[in-house]
Amino acid sequence: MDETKPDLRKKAELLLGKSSTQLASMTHESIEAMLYEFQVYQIELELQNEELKHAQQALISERDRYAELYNALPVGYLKLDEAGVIQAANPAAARLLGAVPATPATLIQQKLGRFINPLDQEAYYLFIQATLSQRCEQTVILRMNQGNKSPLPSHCQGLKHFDCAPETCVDASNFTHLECRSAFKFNKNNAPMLCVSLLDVTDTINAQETISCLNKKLEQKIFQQTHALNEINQALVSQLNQLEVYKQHVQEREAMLNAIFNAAAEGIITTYLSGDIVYINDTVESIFGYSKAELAKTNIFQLMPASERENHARYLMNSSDSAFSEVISKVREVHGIRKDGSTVPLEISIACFSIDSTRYITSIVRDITQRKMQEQRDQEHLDELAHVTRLGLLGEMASGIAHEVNQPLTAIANYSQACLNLMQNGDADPAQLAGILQKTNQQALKAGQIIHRMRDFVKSRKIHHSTVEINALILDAISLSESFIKTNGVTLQLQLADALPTLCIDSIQIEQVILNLIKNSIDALLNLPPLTARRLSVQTALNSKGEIEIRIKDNGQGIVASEQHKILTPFYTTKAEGMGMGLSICRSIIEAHGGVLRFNSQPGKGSTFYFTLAVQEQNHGN
Amino acid sequence: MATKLPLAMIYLVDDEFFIRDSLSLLIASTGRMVKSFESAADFLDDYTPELPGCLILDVHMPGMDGLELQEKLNERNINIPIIFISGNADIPDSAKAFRAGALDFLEKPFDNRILLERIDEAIQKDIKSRAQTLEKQKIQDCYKRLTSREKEVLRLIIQSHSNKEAAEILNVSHRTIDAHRARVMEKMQAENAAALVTMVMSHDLLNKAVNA
Ligand SMILES: Nc1ncnc2c1ncn2[C@@H]1O[C@H](COP(=O)(O)OP(=O)(O)OP(=O)(O)O)[C@@H](O)[C@H]1O
Ligand SMILES: [Mg+2]
Repeated sequence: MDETKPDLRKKAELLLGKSSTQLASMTHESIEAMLYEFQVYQIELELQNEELKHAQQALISERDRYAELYNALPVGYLKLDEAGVIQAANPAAARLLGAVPATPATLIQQKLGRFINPLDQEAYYLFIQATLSQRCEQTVILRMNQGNKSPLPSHCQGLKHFDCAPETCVDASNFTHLECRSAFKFNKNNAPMLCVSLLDVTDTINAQETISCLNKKLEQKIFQQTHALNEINQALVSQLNQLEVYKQHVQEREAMLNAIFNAAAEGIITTYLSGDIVYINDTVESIFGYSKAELAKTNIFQLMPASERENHARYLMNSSDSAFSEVISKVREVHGIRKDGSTVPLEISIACFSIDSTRYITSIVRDITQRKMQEQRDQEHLDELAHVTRLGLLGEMASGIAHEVNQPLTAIANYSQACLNLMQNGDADPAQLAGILQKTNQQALKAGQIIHRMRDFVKSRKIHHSTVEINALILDAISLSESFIKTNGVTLQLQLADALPTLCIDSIQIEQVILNLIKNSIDALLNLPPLTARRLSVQTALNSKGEIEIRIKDNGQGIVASEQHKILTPFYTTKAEGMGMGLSICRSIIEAHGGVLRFNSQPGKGSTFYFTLAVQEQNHGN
Repeated sequence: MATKLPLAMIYLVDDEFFIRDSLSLLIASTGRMVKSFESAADFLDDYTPELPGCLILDVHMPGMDGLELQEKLNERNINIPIIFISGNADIPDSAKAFRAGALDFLEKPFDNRILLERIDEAIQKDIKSRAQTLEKQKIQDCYKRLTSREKEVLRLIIQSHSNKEAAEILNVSHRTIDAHRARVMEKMQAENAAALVTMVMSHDLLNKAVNA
C-alpha cells in the first residue's frame, strides 16, 4: 500500500502543473470561486482521505488476512512464467511440492516440472500448453516426485479388507497427487503467466484408488461369483438337460413298458387282496373275452372256475402273508373261465407287492391252449413214431418172435400126431393120451398168448396209462424176445427186486423201451468174437429217490467215448440195417413218463443202459 | 408098418423141453427108437455109433449150437445123417448146414410126415453108407495085400493099357504081366477087369495109393 503513495503524488503534481499555466488569465471572483471550490475540494479530499485511510486500514487488514490465508491455506499457489519457472509460491505450495527446505523461497526460479513425477511429465506439459494456448482454466491431477517424502508403507485398504494378493493391489499411496488448476494471466510487464493452484488430492485419489481397488476386487469377486454362479448355472442346466434326457428315457421306457405290458403275450392282472381288479393289460381282454371296462368291475375270482376259487383264495392268503414284493409263486397250471363260459388252460404266476401300504397282487397269466395242443400233437407224434418204431422193432425181432410162436405150434403138431399114431396103433392108453392132450392144450395157449402180446405191442393206440408191476412187464417183454436172445446164443440173467411199488405207465411203451434196449444189447453182443460168452442182464431196483430203476446190461463191444454223446440223437447208427431211432424213441418215451434214460459204457467191456420211472402216488394219474 | 423097420436109433437134440417131449412121443408112436438130449454137449458125451440112425438137431441152442455140433461130428468122422430143425429158417444157416452135409433143414413147425420120411431116408442112407464103409474097408484091406509090382500093374490096367503095353512100360515079359494080372484079380476078389476098374475107381484107391 505504501508503494502506491508516491505514484498518486506524482499524478497529483502532474495535474497541478497543468493548471498553474491557466491561473494568470483568471478573474478574482473566478479565483475566489475557484478557491472556494478548492477549499470544498480540500475538505472533500480530507474526508476522502480519511475514508481512504480507513479503507486502506481495512484493506491492509484484509490483505493480511489474505496473506495469512494465502500462507496458511492448504491449497498451494504458484505463479509460473511461460517457461514453467516458479515466480511466486505460498508455503503450502512448498510443502505440497516437497521442497527442501519447505519454504516458498526454495521454489522460486525452480521449474515446476522438476517436482512432477516422470510418469506425468507429459500430462503436465499438455496442461501448461493448454493453459497458454487456450488462455483459460485447466485442471489436471499430477503425481509429484517423492522429494523428501518417505515412501509410505505400501498397502492399500483393499488389501486389509480383502486380503488380495499384493501384485493385484494398485498402491497409490506412494505418490502425492496434486490437483493443479491453472489460470492464464498477464503480469505487470504484460508477459503471459500462469497462476496455478495446487490441491493435495492424494487422499481423495487414494480413496478413489482404494475404492477402485475395492471395486476391482468387488468386480473380481463378482466375476468370480458370477463365474461360480455361471458354473453352477451351467451345471444346473446340464443337470436339467440330463433330467430332461432321463425324463425322456423314463417316458420312453414307460412307453416301452406300456407297449410291452399291452403287447405281452401274457395277461397281466393287478388286483387288491380282495381280488378286485385294479389294472389289466390288453391281453387279458383277448384271453377272457371281456372288455377292459367290464373287467375293471370284475373280481378275479370270477375268471376262474368254481372248483379252483377256494384253492386260489387259500393260496393267496398263504402267500401274501409270507413274502413281500417277490414272485411268490412258481408257475402253476390252472383254468380260466371266459366270458362265454368256456374254459381256457392257463399258466399263472403271482407277484405280491405294496404301494403306500396297500397290498396288491399281480397275476401273470398265459394262455397255453396252443401249447397244450402242441403237447398233445407232440404226444400223438411220439405215439405214432413209437408205433412205427415198434413195428420196426418187431420186424427186426420177427424171426425171434416167429420162433417163439413156432415152438408151441411144432409141439402141438407133434403131440397131436403122436396121439393119432397111438390111437391108430391101437395101443392108446387113455391116461397117456390125456396127458399128451393136456400138454397140447398148454402149448396152444402159449402160442395164443404170444400172438396176443405181439398184437398188443404193434396195435396203434393212444397212450394209455395203467397200473403196472414193472417186473411182470419185464417178463412180458422178455417173452417176446426170449427166442431172439436164445437164437443169438445170449445168456439172460434176471435180477428183479421184490415188492416193488406199482407204476402208472403206458405198459406198451415201456415194454418197447425195454425191448429196444435188449435188442441193442444183443446187437452189441453179436459183434463179439465167436465162442465168447454173451451175457445180458435185466435188473430192477428201487433207488434212493424212491424211483424204480431198470437196468439193461450187456458185456458187448461197448461204445467208444467219443461217440457216446451221439447215440441218443435220432438217426445215429453204426449198424448196416439200423435206423438210429431206437434210443431216441426210448428217451422220448421215458421223458414223457417223467423219467430219465442214461447209460454208461466201456469199450470192450460192455454197456449198461438204465432208466428211472417215478412211483406216483396212488390216487394221482388218469 | 412097425414090423419092417430096420433097427436104428434116432437121436434128438433140442434145448426146448416141449419140442423134445412132443417129438420123442411122436417118433416113439411110430415104433422107432428115440433118444433125446437137452444140449449138444450131452449128446456128444452119450453117443456111440453101434446102431445106424440119424440126428434131429435144433439149430439155435445156448452153448454149442446145432451147426457147431455138426462141425464137431465131421471133425470126429462121425457120419450120422443130420436133419436140422429150426425155429426160424435162416438161409445162411441152412446153406451152411447143407454144405456140411446135412440131410435136410426143416423149419418149425414142420409136417410130421415129412420129418418121418426124412428120418427113414436118413436111416436108409446111414445103413447104406455104413455098408459102403464096410465094402470100402474090405477093398482097402485087399489092396493092402498087393505087392508094389502088383499095384503098378493094377494102375496100368486101370489106365487101360493092354498087357503088351504094360509089359513094355514095365520092361518085363508079356507072360510076367499075365501072371501079375491074374494075382491082382484074385487078391482083389474081382470077377473081371470091369469090376476091378469100378472097385478101384469108386474107392479112389489109386490116388490113395499114390499118396501113400
Ligand atoms: N448196448 C449197446 N452197446 C453198444 N452200442 C450200443 C448199444 N446200444 C446202442 N448202441 C450204439 O448206439 C447206436 C444207436 O442206437 P439206436 O438204438 O438208437 O439205433 P440202432 O440200434 O443203430 O438202430 P435202430 O434201433 O433204429 O434199429 C447204435 O447204432 C450203436 O452204435
Ligand atoms: Mg436200436
